[in-house]
Amino acid sequence: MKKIALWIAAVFVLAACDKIEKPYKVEHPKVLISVDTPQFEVIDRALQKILVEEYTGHKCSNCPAGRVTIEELTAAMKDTLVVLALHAGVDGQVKPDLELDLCDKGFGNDYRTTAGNQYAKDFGISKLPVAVFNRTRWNDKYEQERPNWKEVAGMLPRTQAGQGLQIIPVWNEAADTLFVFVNATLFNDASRSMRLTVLMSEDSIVSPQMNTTPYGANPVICDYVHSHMLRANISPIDGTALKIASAGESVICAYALKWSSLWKKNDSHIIAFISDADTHEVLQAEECKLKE
Amino acid sequence: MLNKNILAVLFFVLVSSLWAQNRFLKNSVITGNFQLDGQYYIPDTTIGADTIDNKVRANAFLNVNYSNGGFSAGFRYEFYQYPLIDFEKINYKGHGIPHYYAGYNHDYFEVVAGSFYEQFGNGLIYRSYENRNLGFDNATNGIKVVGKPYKGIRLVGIWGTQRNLFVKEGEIRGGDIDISFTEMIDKIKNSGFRFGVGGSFVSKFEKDNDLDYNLPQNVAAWATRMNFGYKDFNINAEFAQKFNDPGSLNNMIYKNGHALFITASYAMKGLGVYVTGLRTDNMDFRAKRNVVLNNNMINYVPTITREHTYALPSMFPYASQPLGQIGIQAQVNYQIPKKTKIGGKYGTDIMINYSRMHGIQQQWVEEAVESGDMAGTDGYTSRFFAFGDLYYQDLNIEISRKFTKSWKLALSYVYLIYNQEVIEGHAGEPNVNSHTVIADLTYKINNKHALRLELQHMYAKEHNGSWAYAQLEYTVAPHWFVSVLDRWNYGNPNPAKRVHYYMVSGSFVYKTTKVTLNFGKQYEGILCVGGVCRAVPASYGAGLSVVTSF
Repeated sequence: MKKIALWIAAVFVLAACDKIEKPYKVEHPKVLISVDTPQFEVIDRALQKILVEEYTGHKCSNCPAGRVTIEELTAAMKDTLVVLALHAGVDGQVKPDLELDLCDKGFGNDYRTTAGNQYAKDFGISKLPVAVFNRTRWNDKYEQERPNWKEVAGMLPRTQAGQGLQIIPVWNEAADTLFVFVNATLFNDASRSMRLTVLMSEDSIVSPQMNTTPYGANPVICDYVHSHMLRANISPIDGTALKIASAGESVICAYALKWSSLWKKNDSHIIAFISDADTHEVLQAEECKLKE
Repeated sequence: MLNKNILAVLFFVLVSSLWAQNRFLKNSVITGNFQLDGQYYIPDTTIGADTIDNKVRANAFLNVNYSNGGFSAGFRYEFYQYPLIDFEKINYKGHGIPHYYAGYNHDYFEVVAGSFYEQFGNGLIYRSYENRNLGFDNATNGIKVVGKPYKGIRLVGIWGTQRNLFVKEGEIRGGDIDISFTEMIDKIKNSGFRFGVGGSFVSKFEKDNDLDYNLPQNVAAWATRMNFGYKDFNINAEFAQKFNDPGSLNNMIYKNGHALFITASYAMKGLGVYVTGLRTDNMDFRAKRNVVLNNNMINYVPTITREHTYALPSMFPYASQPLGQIGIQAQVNYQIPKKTKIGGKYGTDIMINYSRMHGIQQQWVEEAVESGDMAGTDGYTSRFFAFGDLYYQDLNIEISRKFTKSWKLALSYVYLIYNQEVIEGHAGEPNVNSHTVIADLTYKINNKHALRLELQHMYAKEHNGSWAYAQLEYTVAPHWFVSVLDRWNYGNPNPAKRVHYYMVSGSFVYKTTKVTLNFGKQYEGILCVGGVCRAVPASYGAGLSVVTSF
């Protein structure tokens, strides 16, 4: 019995457990900041924009080809296309690899986000590269493979926009915090409940990327330039409820984002979109470049 | 004289070392097995088979084991440099020796250093295992010590990292105790009763580098179990709890996880009854917090639904939902006695099986409701018997009968309800309601030759609609086997996708070697083994499989 007791004691010691007490979230030092709500111009129409979520990964060798297709789509559709690149969906192709001795261990960078992981799960992302267009299903699924992107983009409705979005970012240098004000306006009566989601993306991130085509036979590009990369959610991941329903009504939603030193302000964008609360379908999207 | 002594000693050393060497070599046993699965891919847009740059792919591995008395050692070389596309999609790429071990087994103890597989109880808090079809291998790499201090008592301690594809990650440590009073106490053994208890603990370590959350670096789980039996009756139960373990899969909630697994069975001549129940709540336990798919799983939450082997009903298997599920399965097997009017000359077997799985109801905690997000809170509360959405239901009946020495027939009916939204993550998809009938007829021509015909029909409005299936097999024992089958999606709502997924295959077996060739189309679907699943992409082409052991 003594032996058994020793075993049990040893197991207890090995099975160490940290019980975390509330608050579970790290409380960042609070700074009282006063920010005036900016004035928005009254609008009665807006360009209908499309949100394309490109699921990619730095260890996905077919993903640079996906990037080329997205660039071709952007060239064709100009600013009616809002692009967001999410490093999520296939864990082995997106997670950092500290052991990979390539490009000065540059594959150790982690470009995953909580929001990206959540969206990949919600929309059943099973491979890379794939894209989700306006969070709508085509051929019974959200994720679309690269050969279908142009066809799906061509099939998206170009009807009169029923909603308009205006974004005004406000910097507070003292608190190193970005305030984002989004004005949502309805042009038609809403027949469904809607949510507003606000995200932050970054361009011109130079970091290694695995590759096949179309950049030649080089299997690794050490100085690959990543674009439209999702960096953080500014609103809650699933958005906030929009409490407007009648044509002509508008509401200003305010958010704050503690800035990370890893992000470059001049290369960042704010992306906002309104989606159907039940079907997830994106009804309108808008993008705004950030400036220091 | 001195020289003579030296010569005698040298002679003795030489003879004894030769004898020892001879004995050592005589006791040495080398065993192993080799498998190669290759495929030549042809693009086919009608089934969604992509164009692949490298058209010839293969998975291969070689196991080599050495044993000598209680000592054993071995390794496995795996080759996934140009893997089958199924495996490429789950990132199986590379080659090397990821599995290696050495160990010693004694009457009272056992030690293993290197890679090993182990399971505590039903695996609710720890199971390391491999399934090659799934591309799953979470072997623990470290040390395992097993103590057998007294008959009926088994103690296990493990400590190590976890295999994830070709890397070793995380840190896991734990122990298990299993006590069989039946083996320990002769009085119980002779009374017809069976009784045993067990308990286990597992803890993982992962550094907290998160800027926004206070994360537990050490997360523990424990489980306790018992089994009781009397003559033909047996009951087995295990309860497990996991402490706060926020991660990307549970939406960063700090709630404890729970699992309860109970099985009861009764068997007598001609009748068997089996009932099992399972409830899990936030019991996804992984070595790393922010992983998806089947990576870094520490525990195993079994599925209690029937795993169908016939092709059409197996298109909709249930994938276990460790984050939240509650359900039951019941099965009755009855044999109508032989040489009776109804039972016939050889008797008739009837099997009825029913299973139903639901989600669990969740009431968000106040903080989560206020912020509109569960992340960083205790998440939700859930009443034990509050059933949520229906995830899966399976009612199946199978009747099989041997009519003569040559003819045998099995008839089945399967009614499935399959929640695509939850099981496959296809948001917004409707539940599939499918009705399948199957006839499986075997004609034994003589002792060497046999024919088997399998006909199946599945009626469904959802997913890809209705299917028909036919397969004919011809066996020439003991060496040859050929088969031709067609799976036809005639009810697909899209006429362009009413495709015939045909497959022709042949095998040759010689001693311990089997070579199989096939050509045809693979349907895009989902493959599950024991409730753990992976997606299977559509493919078209020729395959070669070689399996041998030595």
